Amino acid sequence: MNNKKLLFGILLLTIIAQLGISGSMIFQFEDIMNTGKEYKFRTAPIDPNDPFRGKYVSLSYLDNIVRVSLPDFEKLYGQKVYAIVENDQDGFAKIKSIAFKSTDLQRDYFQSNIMGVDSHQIVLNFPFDKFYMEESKAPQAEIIYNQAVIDTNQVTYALVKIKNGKAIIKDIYINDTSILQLIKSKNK
Amino acid sequence: MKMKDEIKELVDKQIISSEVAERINAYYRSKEDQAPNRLFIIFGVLGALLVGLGIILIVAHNWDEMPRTMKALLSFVPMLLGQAICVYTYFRKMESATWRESAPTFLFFAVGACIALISQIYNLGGDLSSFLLTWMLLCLPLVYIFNSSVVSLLYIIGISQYASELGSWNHSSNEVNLYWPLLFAVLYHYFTLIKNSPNSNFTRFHHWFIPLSVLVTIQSYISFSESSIIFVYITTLGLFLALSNWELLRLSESKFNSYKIIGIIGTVGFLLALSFDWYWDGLRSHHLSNKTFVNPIHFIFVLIFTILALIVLANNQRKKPLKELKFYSIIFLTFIPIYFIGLWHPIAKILINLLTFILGLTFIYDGVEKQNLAKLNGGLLTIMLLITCRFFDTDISFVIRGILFLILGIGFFLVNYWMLKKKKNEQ
Repeated sequence: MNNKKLLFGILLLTIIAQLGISGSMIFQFEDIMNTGKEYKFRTAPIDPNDPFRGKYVSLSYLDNIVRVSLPDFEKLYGQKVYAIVENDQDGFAKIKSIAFKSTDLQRDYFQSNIMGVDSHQIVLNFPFDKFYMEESKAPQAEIIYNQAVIDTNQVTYALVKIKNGKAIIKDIYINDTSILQLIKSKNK
Repeated sequence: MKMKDEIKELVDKQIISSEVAERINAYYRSKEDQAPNRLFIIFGVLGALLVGLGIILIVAHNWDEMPRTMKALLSFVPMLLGQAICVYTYFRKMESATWRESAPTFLFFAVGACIALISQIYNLGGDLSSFLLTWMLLCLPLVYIFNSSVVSLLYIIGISQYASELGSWNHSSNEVNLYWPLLFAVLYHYFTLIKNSPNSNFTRFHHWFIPLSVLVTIQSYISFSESSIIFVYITTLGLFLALSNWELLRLSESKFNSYKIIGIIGTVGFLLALSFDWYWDGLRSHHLSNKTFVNPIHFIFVLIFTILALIVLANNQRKKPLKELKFYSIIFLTFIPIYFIGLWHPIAKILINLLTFILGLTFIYDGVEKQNLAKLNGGLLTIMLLITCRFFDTDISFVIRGILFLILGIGFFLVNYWMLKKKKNEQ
């Protein structure tokens, strides 16, 4: 009987943990969406050979390279770092510098990984590289996006909300128009 | 029905009395009532898996028109349903194996779907490893609450994938090391299964899943040094071979000893790969440039696994004569000096070839002695593969290679024919 009570207690705790952790994820991300600072990250063309994955638009970014010389740079591949963000003179986000610890960072930053490194620069992997859409709209969105991003007359960027080291994409814009709006207007 | 006919025949031939026949029939009737309907369990679990996978597929479907908060709340629905079914099972259906396996399996997939849906709603990219870790930790208690072996197997797959993901990103060993306590957390369930039902299918699946999971995880440490990782693999396989005869695992009671099969195939495979120049040339040049003998993390693994294997071997061998100790059980120990020789001298390659040849001979000898065709042919195959490998890096003409293959093939047939004839004569 005691064993049954103990197991029920563990079941209850498990259910609370499952609901609690999922709930706290939603609470945290809603907080970032509502109160995080907005940054516009310019996007780059994606590899045309990358097979379309159907449910999201794959994103790559122009300003993910940081010029810095680091000792033992060969061992840094895959290393977790914190990218410190600021706006440039055109109002687009750029990476000011990187840090290996997140304590005492006074500016906006997000967690990233080093994707490539040599003696004078590092290439960062941005965690916000997927924009999920309803599956019938994602292929259309990717076509519109790819056409826009290779056209130098058009400006494409991802609107990202950053707070306490976490970054979430809010939307993708082409010339200040949301990609979802563009798809809706094309389908009318 | 068949049993009833047999009993009736025995009664007709007055081998047993009708009272005895009735008691036998009553006994088997009571057994049938108690035994769980296995087909029902299988279909129940399959049904739960399909429903769970169907929910996962819904993850791919985005709901653009709904407000974000509504989507987030809807992502809880499968999980709430799964939790309700689990609570119902706990209070009403715990005696049913079907419910005890199906309910937590459904909840397992529902938890994964909930976390994945939230990630999709907020466009969270990147880190699959943290998603897997959260998912597995939230579902681990279900293994013990419901004594669910399906969830245990899914959990083992999940933590293997978690370790694999970390390895692909060159994470620090501290993060990959988290795999080991995660694996230990499920070992109590594994040993309970062995104790209570050593011959059940769930136990057999665990016997395969656990060693394979360990092998998959070791590749996550490969980024630390590609040359010395093979040292870790061979020692791990040596540990599996030691465990294959460990009485606590009761593997001798099953037809296919998974630890032995994985250990032997893996060891032979690695020895054949190491019989070529490429590994030893690479090892010497790496040692010359970095002045390291072996990666420190790999060294720790080799040390721990070697000690564990020796303890298990000593336990297996107590009260047994030394001649019963199989060569394949200790072959991993011979690799240690060969590795260090190989750092400086190319003779290591020749030693590996010799080792592989001796291993093949021991299999053949064992097969002949015990009249075991599988062992005999395994030994012949090992030697044949070794010779085939040497064909690739020696300048022998095609004619001579063809003749050698013919001799090997005829030898194969003759040995098998001789063995079968010997068996028949003895019968």
